[in-house]
Amino acid sequence: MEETAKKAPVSEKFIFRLGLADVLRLTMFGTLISITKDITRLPLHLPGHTSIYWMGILVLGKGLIPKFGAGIIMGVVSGVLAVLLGLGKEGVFVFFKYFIPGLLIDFLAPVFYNKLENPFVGAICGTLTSLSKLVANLVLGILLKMPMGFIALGLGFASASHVLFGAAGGLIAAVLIKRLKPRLSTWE
Amino acid sequence: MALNKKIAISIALILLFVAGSYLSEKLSREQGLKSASVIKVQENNNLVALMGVDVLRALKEQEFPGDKDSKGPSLLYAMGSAGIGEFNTIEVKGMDNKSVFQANKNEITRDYILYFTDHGTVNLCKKNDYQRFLVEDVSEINKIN
Repeated sequence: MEETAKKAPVSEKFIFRLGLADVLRLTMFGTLISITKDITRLPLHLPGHTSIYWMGILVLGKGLIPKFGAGIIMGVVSGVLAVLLGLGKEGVFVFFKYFIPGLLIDFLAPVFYNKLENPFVGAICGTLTSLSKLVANLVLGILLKMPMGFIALGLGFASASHVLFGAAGGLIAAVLIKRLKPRLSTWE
Repeated sequence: MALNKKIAISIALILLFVAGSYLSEKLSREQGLKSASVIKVQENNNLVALMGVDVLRALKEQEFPGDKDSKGPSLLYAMGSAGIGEFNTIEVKGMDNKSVFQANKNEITRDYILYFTDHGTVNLCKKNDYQRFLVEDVSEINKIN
């Protein structure tokens, strides 16, 4: 019994010093990203419109579990699911499109002192992760020699649209974090 | 550094990224139109679409899947993908208006091919007559009426 008590707490024993419960919660957020992308068919026909829930869920997950590795886990889970569900035209490389925004949010949040409940910080993080998705898309297109003509010729509009939807997603997430965080004090 | 300062810097970076995207788009468009690697598709001189040669390659794969002998997509298929299905007269212009090809609806068949060149452009020619180019380095496809 004494030996068990001396061991590190469960919350510091899994991966990235995250507890099993946190990893399971992050897996849920990661799954939500891929599933929402797969089942929603918003007839908006605007580039980057998926960022409104994609980046929204990503910022929400990182805001509720503000530990390093949260974004990476969400990115890995959503990326693996995207590959398994056959989302996108990039084949297995679609993984990187999901992983990069997750990786980025892990480095972005500490820059803003993990204050993702601040609407400005939420919107900025949503925007930057949304733009990282656009960049990942472009790089994959170039590497896989996919037709880039339409993408390159609409790059300005595509980036503006990614900014708009990413900011909207981040803003909604910031409001949700502010409302949810005080009620989730028993998460640990 | 204060949070407000970081927010201001981030907003400036985002605006720079968007401005840079518009600038690089403008430059690549101008470069493409100049070298005929981007084709202007017009309807009565109103721009309908800009098509890169890489897009035409994808269209060729769609029109002739797995056909290794096909040299390019048909003119009709390329126009259709740009949203021009109905027309009476069509005009195809080469780079710097050096050569112009005009034809009526009845004359245009799927035998008119946009043949890929080795310098990233397309030539208009008839199927199985790849030595005689009707228009070299196509830069504009115009639906007249």
